[in-house]
Amino acid sequence: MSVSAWLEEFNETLDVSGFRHAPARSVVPYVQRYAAQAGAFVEGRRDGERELVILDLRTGAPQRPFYPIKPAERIGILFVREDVQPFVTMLRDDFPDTEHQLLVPEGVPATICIDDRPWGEARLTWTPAELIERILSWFHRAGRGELHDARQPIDPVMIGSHLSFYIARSVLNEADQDLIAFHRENDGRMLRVERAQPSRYPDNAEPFSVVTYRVPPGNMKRLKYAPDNLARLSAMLEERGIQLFHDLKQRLLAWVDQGEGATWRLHGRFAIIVEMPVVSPRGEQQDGIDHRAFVTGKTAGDIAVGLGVAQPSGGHGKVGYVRTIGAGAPDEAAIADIEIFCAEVNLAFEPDLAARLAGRGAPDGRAAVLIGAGAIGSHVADSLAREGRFRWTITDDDRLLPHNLARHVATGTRVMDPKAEVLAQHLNSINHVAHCARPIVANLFESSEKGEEIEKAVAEADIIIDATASVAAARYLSDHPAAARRASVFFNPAGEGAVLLAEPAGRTLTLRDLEAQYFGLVLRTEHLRDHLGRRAETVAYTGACRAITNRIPQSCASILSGLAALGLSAALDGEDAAITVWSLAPDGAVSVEAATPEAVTAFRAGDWQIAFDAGLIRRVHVMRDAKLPAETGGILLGLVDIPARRIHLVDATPAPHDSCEELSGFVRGIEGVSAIMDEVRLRTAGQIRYVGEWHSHPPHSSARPSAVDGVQIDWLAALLDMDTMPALMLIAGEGETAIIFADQKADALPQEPSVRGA
Amino acid sequence: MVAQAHFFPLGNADTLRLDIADGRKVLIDYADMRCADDEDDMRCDLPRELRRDLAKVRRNYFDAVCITHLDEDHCKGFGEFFWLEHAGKYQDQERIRIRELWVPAAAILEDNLGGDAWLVRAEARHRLKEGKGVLVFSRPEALRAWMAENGIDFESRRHLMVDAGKLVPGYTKEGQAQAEFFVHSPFGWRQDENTVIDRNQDSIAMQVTFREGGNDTYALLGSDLDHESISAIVQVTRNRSNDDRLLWDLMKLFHHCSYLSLCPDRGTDETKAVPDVKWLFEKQGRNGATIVSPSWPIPTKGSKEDNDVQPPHRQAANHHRRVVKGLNGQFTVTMENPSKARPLTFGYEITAFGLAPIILAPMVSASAAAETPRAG
Repeated sequence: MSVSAWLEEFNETLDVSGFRHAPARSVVPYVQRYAAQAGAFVEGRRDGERELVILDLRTGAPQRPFYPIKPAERIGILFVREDVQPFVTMLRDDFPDTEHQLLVPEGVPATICIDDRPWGEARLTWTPAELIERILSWFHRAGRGELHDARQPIDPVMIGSHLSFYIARSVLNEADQDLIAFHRENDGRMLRVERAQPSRYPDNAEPFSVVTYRVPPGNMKRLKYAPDNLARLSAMLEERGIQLFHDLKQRLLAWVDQGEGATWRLHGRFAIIVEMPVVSPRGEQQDGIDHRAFVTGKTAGDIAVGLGVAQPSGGHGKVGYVRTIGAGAPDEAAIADIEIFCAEVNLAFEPDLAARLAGRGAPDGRAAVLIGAGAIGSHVADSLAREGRFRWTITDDDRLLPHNLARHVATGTRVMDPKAEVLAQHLNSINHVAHCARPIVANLFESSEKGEEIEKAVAEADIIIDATASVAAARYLSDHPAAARRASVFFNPAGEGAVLLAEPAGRTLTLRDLEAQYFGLVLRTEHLRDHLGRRAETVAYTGACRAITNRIPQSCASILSGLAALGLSAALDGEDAAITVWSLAPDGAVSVEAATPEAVTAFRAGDWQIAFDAGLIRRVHVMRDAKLPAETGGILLGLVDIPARRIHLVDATPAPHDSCEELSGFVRGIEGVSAIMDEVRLRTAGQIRYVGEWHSHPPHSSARPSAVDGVQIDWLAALLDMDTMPALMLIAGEGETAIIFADQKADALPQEPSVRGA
Repeated sequence: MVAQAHFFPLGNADTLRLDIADGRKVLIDYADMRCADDEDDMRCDLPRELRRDLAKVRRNYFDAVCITHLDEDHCKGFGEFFWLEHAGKYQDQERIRIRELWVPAAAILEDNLGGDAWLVRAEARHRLKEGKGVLVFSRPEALRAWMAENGIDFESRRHLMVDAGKLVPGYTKEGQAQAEFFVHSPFGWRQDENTVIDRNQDSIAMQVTFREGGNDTYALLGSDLDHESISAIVQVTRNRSNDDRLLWDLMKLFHHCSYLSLCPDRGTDETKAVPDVKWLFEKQGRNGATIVSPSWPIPTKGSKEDNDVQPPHRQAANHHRRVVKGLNGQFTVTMENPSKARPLTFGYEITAFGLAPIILAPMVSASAAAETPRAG
């Protein structure tokens, strides 16, 4: 059908005053009175409710337009109903295929998309000037190759069908399934298609039969129009290398032959879904896959009858159809008569769609073990799963209690259930891929069968996320021999800050190293003065001992979890380590402090492991250089894990004012030292403490301890033995640094410097 | 930004505003023809249109104003609108400044002038004496005698002269301007032989090349040349194998659609161009090219205007219509666009895809933004 045939449907000619649709009535005077430079009114047409304003519009197309747009185009602005946006049709048969056009049935003129707002919104400010401006803008972009969206959307009004599908990709991918389509009561337009348990079905459902075809990339080609009967669909598919009837005959015949097992399918309403790459009008493949559903009003059995491979059994047998004996000829007229309705396809929410909607190219199928399904764990997992990330194992031995609902993704119906189960089911309910998350209801330190299950999950994981808010758990995970990269997320005690520690790929830094550097960041950043020092108010949630929880509002918990999830995503997409602290001000302002993770060196001494990072060595040498040629020094601060026998050196302070800094020696003063130690303890919630002393050696001197140093180390060893700890002395010499370790069992000096070269 | 060219409905008169890619504005001729007291005068209020455009970019000057020759329909109102350096009485704040004035040599040399033509000459002479803010389009030798007579040092002004066959300095299509001006006229042999200066034939004619997105678009700015001058230009250009310098995507028509720019005979229904002019129109116009006639509407056959000796000539218009039809192009008359009843200013954009008419849907907001309503 040509444009002229379509125009003939509008059998009534209208003049300027004849339009019933108010917007139509306003377009003509606008063009005539104000927009003569842009175009001229040709005539109006009516077909029942539908009114058409025909204009000759100057397009402003350049001399050599990107698409063959003419200097002037005849267009028809179609007004259908008050509640439907006007359609802009191009009234010539050879109007070029471009981006930003609707897919319309054959015979309907090319229809351009000029407005992606819902009409209900757009009409609030709609003026004829805006309409003409949008059309001109479309022409402007078409002429210059600036239209970009190659999808061919369908509009229910233009294709005369409002059907819309909801189906999982996994269902599409499997052939010969028994499916059922649910719709809402009194609304047959939205169909939720799922795997069926063939039996009785409720009133709001019907058996469904879907056959899926994939257009191979070699045969990709844009649709010219939306086919409206089975013969046209077959012709359309044939152009793309798919022999629809030939294939359907075999498939449907197999169902008929299968007999009772295929009864459901043969009686299901028949639909074809075609999966094809999105192709630009110039034949280039674009991002994304297009799914087009073509739904018939017939059963699959009826289609088989039409194709001549089956006939109704006339009440015999349970199947209802039997194989046609001999070569049945297809009833071509009947096939051509089988109407099909184009339908929107809404693919179920699966990781690839999730990833795309989150702005990433592909889903992230890495295996993640989440330890801790509480406030931050549940929120972070919820965000990441909705962004198409991870196959999850959730471990937690805690149960959901009513007060947990204050800051959790769980609903009230799940109170008393294990948090791990609650969160795993929550993630599975978001995501249509079955079992994307599984729970292990157990404690990390458990040695039972469940504990072994956790061990196995951790051993097989790509990523381990600690969300336990427990220093002990994070360190346990840090030391675990599994290969997976680790990260830790937690809130600060006051619930207005979130912290992310992420190991680098390859684990050259561990969670323990990052923890020490995080404390260093807190110590050295004025803005983080209260980060660990202030606590949230607590509330007792039962009468039991230690049954207290913090007063932290969900709004803060969800914002901070969101920030942690964002940081975690970015870190796990890259190779580098991360130490990030977000602080939320009462007015909603967020500040971010990040430390650049420093390389860490560790050595064993006795049964202790001592670690320090390059940043500390650098800072010490800066202090040395500032005082040269005199010596200087101060106290050493570190993170100590007594049961694990580990010390991470975190910082070194400058010399107190009353120190004696001379060419031949250094005596550390005492002024303010006690205050510094109090402050450090307060700022780091008691995690960072005094671990020893440091001093520098004069120019051209090594870091080798002197006899005087030997006396000091003996004093230190005796002092720290009080806390069952060894003594540490750091010496910064010319171009080298020594860390002297001594405990009460150590031999007397001289000792070799443990590290050379700063 | 992409370059633009704007035409103004001024009857048989020329004004073309070029907004080039680097933001500079070049005005080719200025002819304020409208009769302010006549309500039926459909010609535009040129000073108002130009001021409004300058106001949009917060400017009070043109980078260059080219007066192609001193006829009234190319310089009327010059002394009303512009700030003139040569006399204090033309220097109030409302006036629009000219950074560089482009004139043909004739505008320096001509005698017996009055009105705006006299003012253009006075301004050009003044700037030449000052040694800045002017370009004289001429073979340098043409001015030597006059300058000697007036005690102006020739050598130190040499850089202010642009000979035919050369590019106007300060504009390159490879540079930020993305445009160059190639001078076709006036050219030397005519001035050497001229004893009486013939203004029209000594007027400035140029080809402008705009470069956008790696593609060139050509505008031929014809002034009021007749077929003999055009033929001479074609011959000179072709003899030097410079055919490309006569390519056109946009032609501002010669002499308001006069048949005399095509050949000596008007013809009955279509003027037949002499061979060189025919070549220029039929071979050098590129696909989709546009001819703009800066003129009154084309008369209908048998009308009073059709018998007038003055352009526009119906027969010439028919020639042009046939030519653009062959090029899939457009023929647009300034006083007919969009309608004879209400002609409006119009423009083109120079895109990577060639010349594109600027078509806008008039908007309340845009119109209000361009007005300065006052309340009392």
